[in-house]
Amino acid sequence: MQITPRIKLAAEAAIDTLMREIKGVKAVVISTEDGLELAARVENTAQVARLSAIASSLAALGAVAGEESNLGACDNVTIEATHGHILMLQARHPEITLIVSVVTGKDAIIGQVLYFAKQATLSLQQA
Amino acid sequence: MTVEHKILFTGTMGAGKTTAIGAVSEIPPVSTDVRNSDTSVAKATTTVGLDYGELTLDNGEKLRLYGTPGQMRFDFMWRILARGALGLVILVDNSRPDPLADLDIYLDGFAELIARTACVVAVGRMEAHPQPDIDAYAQRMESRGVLCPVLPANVTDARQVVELLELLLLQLET
Repeated sequence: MQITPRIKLAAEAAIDTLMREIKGVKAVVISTEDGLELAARVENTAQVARLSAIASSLAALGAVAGEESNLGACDNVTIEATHGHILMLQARHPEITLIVSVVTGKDAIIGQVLYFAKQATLSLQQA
Repeated sequence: MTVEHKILFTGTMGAGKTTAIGAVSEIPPVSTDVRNSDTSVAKATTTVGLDYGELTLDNGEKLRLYGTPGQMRFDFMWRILARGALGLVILVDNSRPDPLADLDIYLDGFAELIARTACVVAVGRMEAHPQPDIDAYAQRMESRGVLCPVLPANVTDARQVVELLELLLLQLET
């Protein structure tokens, strides 16, 4: 499907905000729900394609877990790893569902990451 | 105690993995399909996580059926899903531009599983797209040192899917 320039611009703007506001952020990737990269800011480009696909699978598995547990739709998936965190949030725009993935180091404050990521997701949904 | 086996379905996007599992599963299948945004493939949805269904055979054996995403960008899921699998069904779509090259992708991607267990290759849409024929598939696998049955199949037909699974299990017994 075609992604409109308006949504692409909104994705770039969301990435700018997240990279600027989040302390300890390492990467932000915005991808389609079937795992194709739309916009990203990260040093290693190979990692972007990989993270887009992984976020897609995890979001889909999160959705199944939510539905099978009668808890409703999955809004986000959080991974706490040894050296940092990964947050993946669903941005449900009327035209397309996107996944916002934020990778941070251990120095990031998870509450702050979640707050800014949710704000960015909301802006993206309303673009 | 019920004997349970984990069987994996793989193959290209649109080859029928979700359909095959849905055709035979005795529970509502677990699906992780989302809207497809890849314009090169005319398909509304695509699996991005896994498919899951269950089937009890006449002999009481229970099969846990898992389907993989088709696209190579999801190959990390291939490795996760291959763990503990007893056999592999590769679905090939003969209407695609180069189905033999498609087969190679899954023979490579699941080489370890194929070497360790059993495999069946099922070729779909052969009525409308007879080439490459079954011999071409057999030759391709032979040239790669892979020995497994290859046959035409319509995975919308539950009976044919069960036959594929029985053929897979038969290999494990021999």
